[in-house]
Amino acid sequence: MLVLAGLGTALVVLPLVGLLTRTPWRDLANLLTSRIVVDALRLSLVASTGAAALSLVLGVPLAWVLARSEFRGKALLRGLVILPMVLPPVVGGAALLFAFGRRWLIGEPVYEATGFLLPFSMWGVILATTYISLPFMVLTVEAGLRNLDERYEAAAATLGASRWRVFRRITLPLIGSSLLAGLVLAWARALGEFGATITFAGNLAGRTQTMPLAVFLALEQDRGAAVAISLVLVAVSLTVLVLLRERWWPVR
Amino acid sequence: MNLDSHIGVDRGENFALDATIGIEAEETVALLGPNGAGKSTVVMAIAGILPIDRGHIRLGDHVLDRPDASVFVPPAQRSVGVVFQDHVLFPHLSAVDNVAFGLESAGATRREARRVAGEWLERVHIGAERNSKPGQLSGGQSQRVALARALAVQPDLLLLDEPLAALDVATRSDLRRLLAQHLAGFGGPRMLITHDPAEAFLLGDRVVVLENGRVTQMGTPDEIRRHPVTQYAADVAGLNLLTGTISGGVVDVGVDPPIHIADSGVSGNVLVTIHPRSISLHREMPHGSPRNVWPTTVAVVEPLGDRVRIQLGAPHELTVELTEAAVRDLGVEPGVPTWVAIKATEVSVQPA
Amino acid sequence: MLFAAACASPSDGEDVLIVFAAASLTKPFGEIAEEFEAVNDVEVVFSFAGSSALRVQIIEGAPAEVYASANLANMEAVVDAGITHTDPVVFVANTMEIGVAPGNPRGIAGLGSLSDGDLLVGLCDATVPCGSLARRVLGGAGVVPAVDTNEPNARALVTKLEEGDLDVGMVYRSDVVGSDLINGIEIAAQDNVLAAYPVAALTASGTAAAFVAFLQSDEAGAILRRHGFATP
Repeated sequence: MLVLAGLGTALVVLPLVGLLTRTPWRDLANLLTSRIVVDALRLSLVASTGAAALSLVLGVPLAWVLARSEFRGKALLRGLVILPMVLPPVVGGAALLFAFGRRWLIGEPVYEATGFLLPFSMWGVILATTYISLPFMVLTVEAGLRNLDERYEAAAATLGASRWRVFRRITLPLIGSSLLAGLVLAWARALGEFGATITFAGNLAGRTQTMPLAVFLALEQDRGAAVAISLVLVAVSLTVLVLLRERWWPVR
Repeated sequence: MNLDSHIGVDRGENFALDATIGIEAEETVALLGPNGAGKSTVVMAIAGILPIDRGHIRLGDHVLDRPDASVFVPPAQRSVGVVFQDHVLFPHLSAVDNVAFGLESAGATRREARRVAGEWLERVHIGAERNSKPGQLSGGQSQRVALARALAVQPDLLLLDEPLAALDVATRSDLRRLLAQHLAGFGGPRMLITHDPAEAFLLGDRVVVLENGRVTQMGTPDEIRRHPVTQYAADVAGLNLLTGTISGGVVDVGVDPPIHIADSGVSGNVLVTIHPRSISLHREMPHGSPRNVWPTTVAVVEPLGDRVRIQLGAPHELTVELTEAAVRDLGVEPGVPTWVAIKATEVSVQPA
Repeated sequence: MLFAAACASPSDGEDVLIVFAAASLTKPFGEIAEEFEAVNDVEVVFSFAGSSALRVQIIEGAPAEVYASANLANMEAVVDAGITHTDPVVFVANTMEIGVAPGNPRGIAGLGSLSDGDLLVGLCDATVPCGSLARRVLGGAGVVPAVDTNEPNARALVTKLEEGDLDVGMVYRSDVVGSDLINGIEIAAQDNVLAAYPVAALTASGTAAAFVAFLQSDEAGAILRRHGFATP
């Protein structure tokens, strides 16, 4: 048991050590304050926070439908929701282009009418990362809803509360820890998202270039810069994950 | 306002509920039955948590559920107060907010709802715990909050699902008194679900016996107790019930001889129950250990399944249950004199 | 993906030659491999990717036997790492063209159009050869492009042009020739640049040397020219 736990720990720690051994410590300050890194970090934080928020807004109702109603095609709907987890993100990105690109399904009429275009914009980054991180929210919240004793909601209903009031005052607070877990997972997945983003939203520093894209392209040319950017990504995510766990996600 | 219901619910292949239950205003019906009889299904159907498949549920002039007319009123619009088994208090809300929840749902302001909720908590003697979360309350305290929560919205009908289960003996008798008091003060129909016959007899004006999804008997507690029609009713409900005052391990039940008991941890007014099978009959005065022995006569003999129930005459008019073989051996017939023997350890008492 | 390809076991016990080649070579190399396999008892297994990604993988120890890069800089890095077995030779060259939708619906005239902010403009990222070449061409012509996306490789850029997600981009002439869905606008020779493609064997294997030699044959040259490349 402990040996395997140790091996597991080694598996997650060693790559980090590898990263640290290749870090160009002397140039680090310059690299990290460079325009590209600062822009990418800002964009990454905005996009992943946006994706987590959008996942919450869209994912909680979806999870509720999946957990609390019976209808034909429910298994199919759940499969579709989980699909982005399984699909190579690049495929997801291409599929998004075929739906929201300016020559396609939704994208064309919208572009014709308003000139608004999702690809190559920050909104495109948020859409792509939401598409990828939504399943994490839905699955987590659905599990939370399934574990919730339905009698709480029944009791609230017998006390005259409308469905919306039951949902807001009883259901949501009681699945609070699942909501938070879903938010963190969705945020973390969005922060690391690469394939769907670069395929759908393209890559432009300051507009659509998130940290993972910056790392990938820096890797082509300047190993040191790539490692430095990766280190920022690691530091930011680890800080957030640990803080959330400690403060708002108490171990039960 | 009365309850008129015929509840038909299919659950899987093995269980179907088909029960006709009516309750008048200011009447308490105790629904008595073994586990799995369908008691909780009745609660869910009347509360609107589970739509019925057949029949109807009507409360006063309002049809609440009638599948053949496509009528179904959702729980939030039913005005049915429910005290759930295990209380089901909202764990994230304090006691007062649990009670205020229904009042706020009905449109009261937060401030007003909390004020009224506080009064209800006082009425069930738990005002001091108003800011406690359910996790900090004992079983008895939780049950008081649950009762206050159901009553505070002034429902038209009150359902209590096993309100005294899972409580220790002392708490149970306290709560039973509180329950009796609040049931009496509630003007609508009242239904008490229980598997405990003593509870059914003490709190119910009428008892409905539910077995395997069917009503097998209904009547006053006395009718059920004296003339159970099924083996289950006889086993759990066909009990000898006496009330009296205890002192020094002896219960004065108003008629001599007093009843000796083994348990001396109780005092004051008590309820004495003696199971019909733990009473033995003898032709001659028995010698030896039984503490309670007296002569009487056989009044009524009636067979029930493979056993025979015998009503005895004065002084205590107990019911005895014997095998057919024992009845033959003893020559039990109406009018025959006999001796009664009951061990003190077979007599159970609880605070009345 | 890379190592799955590299470790793919030969189907019937014949030898395997692992070739790491710039993504722009995908189509001609497929045909060349068929010709090569016809006369040599070997199965050629390719890993196509951006030249720089391949360079990184080779330096990190990927089991490549031949490396064909789309520019000299990446090859130099591999040479400097001491991994090459033969000296690199330039076997083919590519030039840049302006890639547009078929029929040129947006009426793109020349390099100047790339600075039009109303058009959706894509280039390769400056870190990959097609991106640095494009910038050299644009810089030489004094054009500052209004870029909407820097694609990670030539293939990704071509796909976005083919799908109509972009209006205009700077691509290899070989990409234009290889695609039915985009047209090319030629760039005047004095503004254009020539991208030299060097190849080197990375092992002492005879098959690797034979493949490098075969790339310089008339047979291979014909295939490459048909795909829009220029041979030296």
